[in-house]
Amino acid sequence: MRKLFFAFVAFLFLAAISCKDKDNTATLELKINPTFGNKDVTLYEPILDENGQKVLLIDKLYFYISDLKLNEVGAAEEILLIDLEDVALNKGITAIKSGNYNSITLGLGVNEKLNHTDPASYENSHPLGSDHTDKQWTWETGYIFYKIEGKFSTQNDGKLDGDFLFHMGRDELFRTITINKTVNLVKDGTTEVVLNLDFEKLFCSDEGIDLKVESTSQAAPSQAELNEKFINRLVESIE
Amino acid sequence: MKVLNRRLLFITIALFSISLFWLACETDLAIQATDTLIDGEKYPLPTPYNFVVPNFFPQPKFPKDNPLTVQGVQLGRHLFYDPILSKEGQMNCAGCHAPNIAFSDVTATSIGVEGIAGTRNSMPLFNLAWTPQFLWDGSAVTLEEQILNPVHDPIEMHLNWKVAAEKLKAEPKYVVMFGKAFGANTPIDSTSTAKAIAQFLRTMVSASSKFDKALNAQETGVQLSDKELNGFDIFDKFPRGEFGHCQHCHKRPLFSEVNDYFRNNGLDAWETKEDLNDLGLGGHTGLDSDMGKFKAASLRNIELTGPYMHDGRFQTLEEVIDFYMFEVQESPTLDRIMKTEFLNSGEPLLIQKNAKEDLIAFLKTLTDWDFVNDTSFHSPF
Repeated sequence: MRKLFFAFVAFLFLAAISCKDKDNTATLELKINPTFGNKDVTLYEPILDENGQKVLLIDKLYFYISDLKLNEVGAAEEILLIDLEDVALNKGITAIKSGNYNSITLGLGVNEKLNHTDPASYENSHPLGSDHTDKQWTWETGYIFYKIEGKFSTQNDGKLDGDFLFHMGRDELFRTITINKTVNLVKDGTTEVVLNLDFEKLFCSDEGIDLKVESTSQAAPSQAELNEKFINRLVESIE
Repeated sequence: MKVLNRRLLFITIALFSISLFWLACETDLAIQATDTLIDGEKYPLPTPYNFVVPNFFPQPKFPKDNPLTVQGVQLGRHLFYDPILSKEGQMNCAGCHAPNIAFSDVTATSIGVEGIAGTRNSMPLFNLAWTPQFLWDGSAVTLEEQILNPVHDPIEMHLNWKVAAEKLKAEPKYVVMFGKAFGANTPIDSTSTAKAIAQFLRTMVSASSKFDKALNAQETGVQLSDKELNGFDIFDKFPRGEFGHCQHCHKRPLFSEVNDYFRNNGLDAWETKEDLNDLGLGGHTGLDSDMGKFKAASLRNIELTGPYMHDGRFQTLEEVIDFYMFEVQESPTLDRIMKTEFLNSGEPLLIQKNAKEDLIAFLKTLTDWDFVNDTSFHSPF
C-alpha cells in the first residue's frame, strides 16, 4: 500500500512539474477589427458613407499571422489564423511571457520557413493543415497570406455592383509590421489585443487602392506594381 | 482512521486507473460491443481494416460509429453489386457507378429502374473518405446518409427500405455477413446496410495515377512528357491571361476542394432563382447566396467520367475547356474568381499555342488505371 501511495504522489509531482514551463506566461488573444474611419464594420453588411450611400461590403477577411512579438519578446513559434468568417477562428490565441509592453510586431502571412510545407504534414485542423486548403495555392507558391474580398459601388451611386478580390501570398510579399500599442500581460491572465483595419484608408482615401481600376490581384508577378501598392496601403491601414 | 485513509487512497487510485482505461478504450467501443454468436455459431470479432493514407493526402475523417472492418467492407462490396436492393432485382449500385469508368455513368443523367432519367449526372466514386459533403448540392452530410437515398428514390432503385431489409433477412448469406460485420444483435436494416456500403466505398482510394507516380519519380521512374508538364503549368499557375486558374477549385492532392466546396462556375446566365432549372446548394439551404452553386468535383479520373457538369451537358473535355475560355455566363452568385479572372479580365484565358491540347494531356495523367483495374473493388459475384 505504501508503494502505491508513493507512486500516486510521484504521478502528482510529475503532473505538477510538467506545468512549470507555463510559469510567467500569459495568454494573448489577437483580434482584427474591420473599421471604416471611426465606424466598426460587420462582414456582409454594407458600409455607408456620410451621406448614407452604400460604398463597400466586405464578405471575406482572413489573415495568417507569423512571428508575433511584443517588444521583441517572441511568442511560441506558431502560426495564427484569424478568419472573420469563422466564429471559431475570429481571434488568434497564443502564450507569451507576461509583462508590460509598448509595441507589437507581427508578420502578415506565413513566414518563408513554413510557407512551403505540406498541409498533409499537419493535423487537418491546424491553421496550415488540410482543412484550410482554400487558404493555399500550391506547395511551390505557398499559402495565401490573406484574402480580402467584397463588393463596391462602381458609379458611386449606392449600388454595390462591382466585385473586388485581393489574395496575397508568395515569399516576396511577406511583410513584418510593428505597431506601437500598450499591452499589459498579467501572469496566467488573458489579454485581448485588437488591431483595427481601416477600409476607408485602404480603399477610399487619396492614396488608397482605386477599386474602379484596381479591383483584383492574386499576387501574380505580372501584377507586381499593384501587389506592392496594395500591401503598402494595407500596412498603413492597420493600427 | 488510518484504515479509512488507506481505503480512500485505494479508491482514488482505482477510480483514476479505471478512467485512464476507459479513455484508452473509448475509440474501440463500436467494435468491442459486437456480439459474435450467429445462429448458434461463434464468429471472431470483426477485424479492423488497414486503411493506408497515400503520400501527400490529408488524414481521412471516419465516423466514430462506423469504423472500417474487413467484414464490413466485404459486406458493403456484396451489397453494392447485388441487385437485391432494387425494386425487382434488376439494378445494382454499379448500374449508375460503373467500375471501368471510375464508378461513374456514361449517360448525362442516369436512368433508374422505371426507365426514368434523373436530373443530375451520376458522380464518380473514389476518395470519399476525404469528402465532407455529398451529392452535387451537398444535401447529404455523411456518406451513410447519401447511400440511403438511391434505394428508395422512385427514379433510381425504387425499393422501400422495409422491403429491402426483409429481402436481405431472407438471405442466409446476408444474415451471416451482417452478423460478422456488426454483431448478431444489430438489426439488418437501412442503417446497417448503408454503413456497410459506406465502408466499402471509403476503401476506394484513387492515388496511383501517372501524375502521382511522377511525383514519386525516384521510386517509380515515371515522368511527365513536355506536353503534360506544360499542361500542368497551365493547370496550376495563374498569372492573368496566360494560365488556366484551374487549381483554385481543384486543389491537389484531391483535385477538388475541401472547403469552399460549392461554387457557381457560370454555366448559365440568370437574374433570379426562378430562371434556374436546378437551384443546386440553394435548393436545400434556401439562401439566395447559394443559388446555382454546385460541388467542384474532383478532376482525378476526369478522362473517364464524362459527360461533365452536374447535368452532364458537356460530352468532352474540349467542350469543358471551351466553356471556361469563352462561355462563362454572368449571374448573381457567379464565383468571384470566375467573374474577375474569366469574365472581366479583358484578356483571353489561354493564349498559348496548343494550350487546350496540353491541358487535356495533363488532365489525362490523372487517370488512375491501378484504381480502375483493382479487382478488390469489382463485383464479387
